[in-house]
Amino acid sequence: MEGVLLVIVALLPILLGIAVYPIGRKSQSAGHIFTMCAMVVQFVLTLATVIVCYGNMMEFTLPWWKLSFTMSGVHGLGFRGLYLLVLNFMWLVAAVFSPEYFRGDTRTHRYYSFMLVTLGGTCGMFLAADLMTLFTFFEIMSLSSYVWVVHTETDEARRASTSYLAVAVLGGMVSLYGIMLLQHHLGTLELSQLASAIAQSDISRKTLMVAVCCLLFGFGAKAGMFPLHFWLPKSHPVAPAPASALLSGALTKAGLLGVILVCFRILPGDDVLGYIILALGTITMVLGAVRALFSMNIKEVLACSSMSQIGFVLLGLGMQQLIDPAMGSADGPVVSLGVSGAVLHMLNHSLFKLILFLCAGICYKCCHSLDLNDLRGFGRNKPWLMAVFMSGALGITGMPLFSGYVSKTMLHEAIVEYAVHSGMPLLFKSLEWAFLLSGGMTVAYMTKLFVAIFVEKPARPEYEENTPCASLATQIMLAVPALAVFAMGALPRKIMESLATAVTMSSPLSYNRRLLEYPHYFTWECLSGAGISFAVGILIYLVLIRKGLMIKGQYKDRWPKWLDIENGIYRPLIKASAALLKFLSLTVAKLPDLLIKLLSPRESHKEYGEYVRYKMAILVGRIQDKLHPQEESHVPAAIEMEKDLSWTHQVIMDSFSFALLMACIGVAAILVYVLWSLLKV
Amino acid sequence: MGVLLLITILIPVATGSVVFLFKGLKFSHIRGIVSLGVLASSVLTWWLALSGTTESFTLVNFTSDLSLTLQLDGCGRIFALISATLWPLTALYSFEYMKDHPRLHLFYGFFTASYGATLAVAFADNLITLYLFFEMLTLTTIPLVLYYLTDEAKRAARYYMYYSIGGAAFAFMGVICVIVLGTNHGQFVMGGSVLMAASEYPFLMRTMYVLSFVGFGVKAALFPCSAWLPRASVAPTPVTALLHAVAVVKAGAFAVIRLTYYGYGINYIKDTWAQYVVLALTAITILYGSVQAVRQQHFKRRLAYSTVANMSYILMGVALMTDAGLVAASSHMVFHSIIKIVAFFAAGAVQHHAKCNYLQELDGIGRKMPVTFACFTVASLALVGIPPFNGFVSKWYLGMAAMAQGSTMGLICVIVLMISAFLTLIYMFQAVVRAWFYPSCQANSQAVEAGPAMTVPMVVLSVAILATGLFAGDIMSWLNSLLGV
Repeated sequence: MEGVLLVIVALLPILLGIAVYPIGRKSQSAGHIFTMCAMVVQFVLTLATVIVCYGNMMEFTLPWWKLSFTMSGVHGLGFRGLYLLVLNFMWLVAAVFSPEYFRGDTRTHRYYSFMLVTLGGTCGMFLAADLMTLFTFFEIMSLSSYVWVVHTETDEARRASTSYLAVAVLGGMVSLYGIMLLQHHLGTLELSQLASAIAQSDISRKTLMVAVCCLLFGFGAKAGMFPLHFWLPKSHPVAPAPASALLSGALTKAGLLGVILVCFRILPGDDVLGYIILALGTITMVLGAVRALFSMNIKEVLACSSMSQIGFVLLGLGMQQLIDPAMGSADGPVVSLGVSGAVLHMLNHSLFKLILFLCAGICYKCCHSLDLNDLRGFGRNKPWLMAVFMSGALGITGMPLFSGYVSKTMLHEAIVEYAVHSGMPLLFKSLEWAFLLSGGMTVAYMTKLFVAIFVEKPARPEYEENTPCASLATQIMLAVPALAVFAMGALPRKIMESLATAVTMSSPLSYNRRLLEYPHYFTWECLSGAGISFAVGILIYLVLIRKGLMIKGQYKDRWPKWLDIENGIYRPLIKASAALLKFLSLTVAKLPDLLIKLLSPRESHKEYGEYVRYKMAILVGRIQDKLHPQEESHVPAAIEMEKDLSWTHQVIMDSFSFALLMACIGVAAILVYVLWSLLKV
Repeated sequence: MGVLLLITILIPVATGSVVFLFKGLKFSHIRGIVSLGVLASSVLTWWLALSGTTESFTLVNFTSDLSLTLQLDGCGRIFALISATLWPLTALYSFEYMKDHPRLHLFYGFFTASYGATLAVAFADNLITLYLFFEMLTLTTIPLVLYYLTDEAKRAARYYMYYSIGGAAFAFMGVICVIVLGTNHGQFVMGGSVLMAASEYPFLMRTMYVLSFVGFGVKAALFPCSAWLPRASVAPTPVTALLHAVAVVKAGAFAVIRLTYYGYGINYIKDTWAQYVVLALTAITILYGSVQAVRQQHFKRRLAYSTVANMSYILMGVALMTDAGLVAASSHMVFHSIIKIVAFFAAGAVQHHAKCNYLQELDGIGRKMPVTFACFTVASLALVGIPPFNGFVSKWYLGMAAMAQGSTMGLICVIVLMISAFLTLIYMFQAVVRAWFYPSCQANSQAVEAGPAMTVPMVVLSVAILATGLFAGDIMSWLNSLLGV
């Protein structure tokens, strides 16, 4: 019966979110207090749920609304439990930071309300035990987070949010098609039974791949996977900073959850799927990093960086798909390095982006600009901000002793190990280099941000003053993930590896074999990867950014505008197909009327009819004149009326409806004739 | 017991006649009489439907085997309950909307009388009865379209009349075919009654079926006869909301269900050219309606085109000719009624209280009319098919039914549904986004929130949208048991 906790965790925030709207509308501060209380309650509940679940399984199905939830703690903190905690923690931190960020904003009730609803949607997604529940909460999450993106209501925000909504709903529709296919062929959507149902059913490989690709489309779009990544670098910068932190740190992970489920629950160890994910992941990883190098908007850099890091995770998942079948021949230790690395990098990335986006939010709150040129030197006198930002930045670049290094090393090792066993060493060698190069670019763009904000000469004199830039609560709340990043990186075996083992063994990943050997992080072999990345990164920074992208000390965005995939391809494509559909539908609509026009050459009739009607109208007018001799002549009015009438007549007589009427009269006449002839007989 | 069916029909007709004939009645009197009549009839309908009576009542015997008979079976019960639930709420809504309008005796006379005709369509026990009351429904609703007496209204009424009469002719052919060649004289039997004849004259039967499908489909705005519906949105909003999104158009779909499953029977039509023709027609209508809706800038006309598309969702379910298709079609019949009436109510509230008709005039209006637009947003979400709202449920079952159909045609149907859902997002959310997230514009500066008579029905039905979505499992099994599949 503890299972009911799962439902509460998923649905309570939604109800509270609906409740906060009217409260916040009455008084903004009451709305804030209510939200904070709600967040704390929700966090405590989550904690309680995870603790209760520790060591056993929880399952629950709502009796009337067929939603089923599950969470496993059999092997310690499972994937769902871990992410539930992370999500609620992120929301809590974002909520603590919100009031100071939104000072003076009169629409916070809307923001708070949808923030809670989105939390419910995301939690529900991570707890879902079947695809239908997953989809339901996916849609709730996608649509309610739309309000975040549009929050500022500027033209830019509206444009970005339109893409966001379109991608969200399109992704939803396509994955719904995939879910329908699975339901139709398998008869079940329960995650734990999908794989066995596939084995038993007669579903063809082609259909299955179509279904899987549909699901991948929908979830990949949410995760920011190439080629559906374009909304991400646009919508994250326009959203309010706490929301961007969640969009990037939590919502993309919900997309990744979908990809994970597709990988491990529907087609485990399928190498075609593996190659697809690997290829798309690699492109996402490199593209995001390149784009981040060029951008000079701090949040855009971070958003592109999110994209790139998602690419890292996808790469790990793809590797895992490939490694599995090779396992029989290869030696054991690599078994779940890909997936461990991917899951840990997901977790890390959530923390990094929470830190970094909130730091960006603090900058924006104080300077009202996101442009790097305006932010130069902002953090020089702010040691706390520098320390926190530094921890996020070092983490994301994969500096040893910080948690990013551990997950990246695992991913790196997965590639290196598999390269030996695969038949295509060259391919995986180049993959490794793409990996290291992306790592290098990460170093470069994070150095760019750090140098600009914390090292360079202040762009405005007021930056030199040592005023506190964030409230105490925010400072404390932000220090927690910053310290966690360091602690996790410093004690990789104690924290990260035991987490990875528990997570990969519990559902939905369910690797029932224990990992024998994790890499030795502080050996020359592993450190050399990070070393190469850092060397490449510093080189890129010095050559490309300092020489190529800075003109007279100003950062310049030299990314060619025409390379924008949204404006270059998707929007024109949608416009063109809309125009085509409109043209077709208009043609189709006019077809019956056109047919009638072509089939009825009644020009002469028309003239004759007009003449008769005209005479009739004059006659009517004259009769009226006779009846009311004292009034003025009625003839002009009658002629006017005739003109009106004939115009309406003309329109309708040339239409399909009139033809239908005629057909009806014809049918009636035939009926009368038949009756008459029957009677005669 | 059976005579109660007749009484249920006669109450609204009598009420309507009283209102129409005594022209001098004050508005408050009209209000009292109409609410009394409508409520009485609704309560009776609910009672009859829930009591599960199967007694029939014969009004007239034309010949030994041709009669006007009323009976309430499962399928009719669904349609009767939709009307009985929505009519009182619309009447309440109209009391605020129509308050300052002239010629109220005409409006309320026909508005109430058409309730009787709609119930009669639901109660009809055989094809000839259905056909008769179907035409009565047409006749009672023409004056409502004509109500404003502007040139546009007159033209719309003529279009409506011509299309309806023309459609009736084709429908009549099919009806005659079933009555003459069938074994049951047109009485409704699940599975149809033309088995013998169909094997003797397969081509004739199928041609007749297609013709009568289109004939009855005129009312459900099936392409190529959909032009009347968007034009008819010149009528007062309660009429557009109830008659042109629920009663009349659903009567068309209901007649098609009767014709397909209870008249001809699906056995001789399934997997033949006849089925492909009607399926193709519905698919074309769905795309056509959705695309046209995206093009329209006039708020009500946009919703009217959306009705065109959604009616064909229902017809598509019917044309799939499987039990699953029938259940999916009837579920969309129920759910779409609720959704679209809320959407039209909101449009009417905007028209009445803000004097806005066009999409561009909606900018920022959500802040001035929050309840109205909250309801409209719920309706939009449901219409796009976002879980947990009810629109998702019927879309899911329609999609599953189309997929289970097995042929390529089924898969195309699913894809059409998906494209249409995306177009629905565009045409509904343009309004939602403008209302909530755009700065206020001059055109709606006078806007105020609608009064309780308007907001109460909207809120009640919005809650119903969510509730029917949440309890979809129970509703689907209830529909299953009613339809006996």
